[in-house]
Amino acid sequence: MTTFKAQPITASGFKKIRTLLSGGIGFFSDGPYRYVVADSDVFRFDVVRRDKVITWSDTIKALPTAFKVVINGGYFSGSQVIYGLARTGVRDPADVTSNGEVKQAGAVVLPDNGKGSDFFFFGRNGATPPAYSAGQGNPPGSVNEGSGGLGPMILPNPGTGAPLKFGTGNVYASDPKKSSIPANPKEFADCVQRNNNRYAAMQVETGSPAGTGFGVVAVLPSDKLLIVVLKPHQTVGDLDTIRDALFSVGCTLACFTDGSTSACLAVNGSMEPGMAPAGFKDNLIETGFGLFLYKAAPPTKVSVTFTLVEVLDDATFFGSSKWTLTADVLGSSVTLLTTAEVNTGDKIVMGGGGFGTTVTVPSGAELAITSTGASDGGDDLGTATARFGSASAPAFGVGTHLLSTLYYRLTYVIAIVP
Amino acid sequence: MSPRRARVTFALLVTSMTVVDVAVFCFGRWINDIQRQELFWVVAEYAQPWATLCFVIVVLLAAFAFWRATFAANLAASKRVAYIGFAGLVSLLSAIELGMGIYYDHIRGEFRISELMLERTHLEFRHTTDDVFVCADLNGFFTWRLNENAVHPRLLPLPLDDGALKAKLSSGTCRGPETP
Repeated sequence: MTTFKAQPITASGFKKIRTLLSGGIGFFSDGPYRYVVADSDVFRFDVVRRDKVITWSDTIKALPTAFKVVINGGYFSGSQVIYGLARTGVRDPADVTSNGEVKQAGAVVLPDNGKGSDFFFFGRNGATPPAYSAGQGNPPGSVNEGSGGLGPMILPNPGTGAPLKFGTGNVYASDPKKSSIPANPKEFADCVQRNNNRYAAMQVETGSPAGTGFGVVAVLPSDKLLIVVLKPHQTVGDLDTIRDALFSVGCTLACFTDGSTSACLAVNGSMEPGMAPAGFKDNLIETGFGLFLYKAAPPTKVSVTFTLVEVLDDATFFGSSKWTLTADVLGSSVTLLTTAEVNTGDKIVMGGGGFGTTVTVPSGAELAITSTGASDGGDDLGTATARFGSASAPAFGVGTHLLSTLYYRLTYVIAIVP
Repeated sequence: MSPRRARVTFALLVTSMTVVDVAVFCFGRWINDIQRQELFWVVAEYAQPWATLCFVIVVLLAAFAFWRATFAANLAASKRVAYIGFAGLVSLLSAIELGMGIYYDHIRGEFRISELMLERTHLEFRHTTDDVFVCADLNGFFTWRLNENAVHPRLLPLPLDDGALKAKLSSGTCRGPETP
């Protein structure tokens, strides 16, 4: 289970969001919304497709570990019979039709069902790092990997190229009463929100008491960040709220995915609790977007601070004992006690906010913390080790932990250093 | 046919017809409930208690027809079979119709009328940036007009529980030829 750290999607909050990433990725929440932020220099959006007669969850489980996060993709359709049969077991992906074309490695791997032009695409080119694009219809030739069948949220303004919100009704900066369709570059330049009927219908649906779920894929090019948002099904929240939040932090492209009981998010190959699709949808969903680690993640700087030594057994029958305790944090030694007189039951608070060190964990490596100790009588006080990696929950074990032997218990705090 | 054999035949006919009709009717309503759980779909069906009342009347009328055909003294065998077959078919079709559903997915713009998962009507409405999603005239009892398509949501003169469906079908703004 992944910990989604509370972090509002605001312009001020996003100024430091990059510093909160570990291994190039971070997991956050803003009210009901769960979102993932990834460094676009090491992660990219790849299409995930169910092409075997297995569930969507099993499809994600079978992916390479480089797929850190997967969200459900475009809208799909199927006959009532297929939906009925999906309640009895997994359906062949060939029984389900996609509302938009899907491209992988430059080729169309899934055609649309004739409705592609009514939906929107989101995708990237084949460059490294890739450039992203989104727009109406199916993915064009410039898109190497992407999918249609999505809904619009933030797209380039055809008149100015600046990010333009999509929503319920056309809105103009110069005249709040005007709602006509922008017809020329001048009107587009004045337009601050472009109408989309599917968006309008979804806004009503997501804002309803039923709290229909949905997903979002977005790009924040100024900060080289990719964003995945999920509003879990049956939670309060709507498209407008998350669209405005993403717009405020500088997202230039954002599309919403299929929703309702299809909305789902998986991390490290497993569906997150409360973010799994309905059982019959798991038997039907056939496409999604994955955050794929295409380059080694950057090293992560972490601080480890020891705050308390508890003496469980001073290793002597009578009186006190003198202890020397040290810790090794990824090769960096921290002296906790030096011939310090201790008695069983002592709780020694480390002065000055604790003794610690800051280390850099190389890409793919683990943060190893080992403690050793000896008494003046020559007794070995035991060795204890803890290991944390980028796949730990939370990543690199950020938080407070205990390290124990039969003789002592250490309390220490791990934090990511911006 | 001996009176005893006629009574057994009649009992078998009525029992099998009732079992089949009840199963068909309940299956149709169950499908509607399943579709309701898929939240983008709005579902309407024949309103209760009228649907069940009509179903009971149809079954009773079919049973009466069976009784008349089975116990008629001077009826040729072929006619007897024809009467029974006709009454059974009418009751089965009525059960199917009474269990039917009208489905509308207001996100994808799909409108369906289905009888036991078999589509009687399937319309798809464009739902792009500015197109009108559905421009609906739902004032007709047997006939609705959806973006100039005439659809017949019901075949029996019974009310529908179609409030939510009508609200969704009427929520769009109709764009006339005078506006772009």
